[in-house]
Amino acid sequence: MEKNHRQLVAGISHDLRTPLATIQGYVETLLMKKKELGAAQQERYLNIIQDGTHQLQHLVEDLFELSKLEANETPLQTEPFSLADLAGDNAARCQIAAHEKQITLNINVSPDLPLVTGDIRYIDRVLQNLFDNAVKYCDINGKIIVELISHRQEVAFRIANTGVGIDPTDLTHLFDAYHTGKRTKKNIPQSKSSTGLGLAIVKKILQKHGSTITVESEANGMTVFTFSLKID
Amino acid sequence: MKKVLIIEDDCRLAELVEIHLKDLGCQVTIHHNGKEGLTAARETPFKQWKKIIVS
Repeated sequence: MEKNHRQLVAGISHDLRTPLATIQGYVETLLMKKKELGAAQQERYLNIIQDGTHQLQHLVEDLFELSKLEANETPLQTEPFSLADLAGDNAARCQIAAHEKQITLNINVSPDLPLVTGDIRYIDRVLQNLFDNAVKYCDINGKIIVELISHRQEVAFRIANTGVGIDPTDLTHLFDAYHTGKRTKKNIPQSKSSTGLGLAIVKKILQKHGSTITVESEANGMTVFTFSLKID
Repeated sequence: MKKVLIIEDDCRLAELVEIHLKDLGCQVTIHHNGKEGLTAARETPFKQWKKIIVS
């Protein structure tokens, strides 16, 4: 536990320091060189500063969300809703990013899929994180396949993407806060890198719904995340 | 000219250091991963590097 805490603090410190150093450095450079820099270069530096502030904002929001979940501060507001519709909304949201990497994104929904019960705001967050990860880690020209099927008294959600896969040593710690794994640094541009909190948030939200998430991955093959929610 | 090697995985931080080192008259080489950086460091006689900056 103490080791995990140390790892968490080290991870947060590193991820706060990096964008801060970028912001601070480029602001100082702009101030020092404002007379010699052309408009295009100034704009480029300003965009780098803006990216840094977005990274910080994302990190702070994720930390706040995770701490609220761990403190059990916000009770669930459960209601019946269509998980298929929510998946469709998230797929639409990811279309531009998927298109940029020429990814084929398919959603297969069983006919007459029943409504599930849960807190739609939180489950939307789960789907956002899973769709974002699938696009982020999918290879160029790769595939993302989403399936929703009814199974006993539950609806199962499954999202699979092609790509480099997850190192077997990372699989057991994948849902721990600040375990970003080896695939992150190897394959993701810095500006799109993970905060290392997304899957920890997913796990906590699903735990609050009495559900668990599982992952299967093979090297240079499919990575598949699966969870189920109770039927209304 | 002073030769400086930067090994840093964050492109934007590497570029930032490069900007200021060039202002100081340095000849800067950048590598974004340790393996390539180590190879580059060994390819040049070690004494020729004024500084090697590692992430």
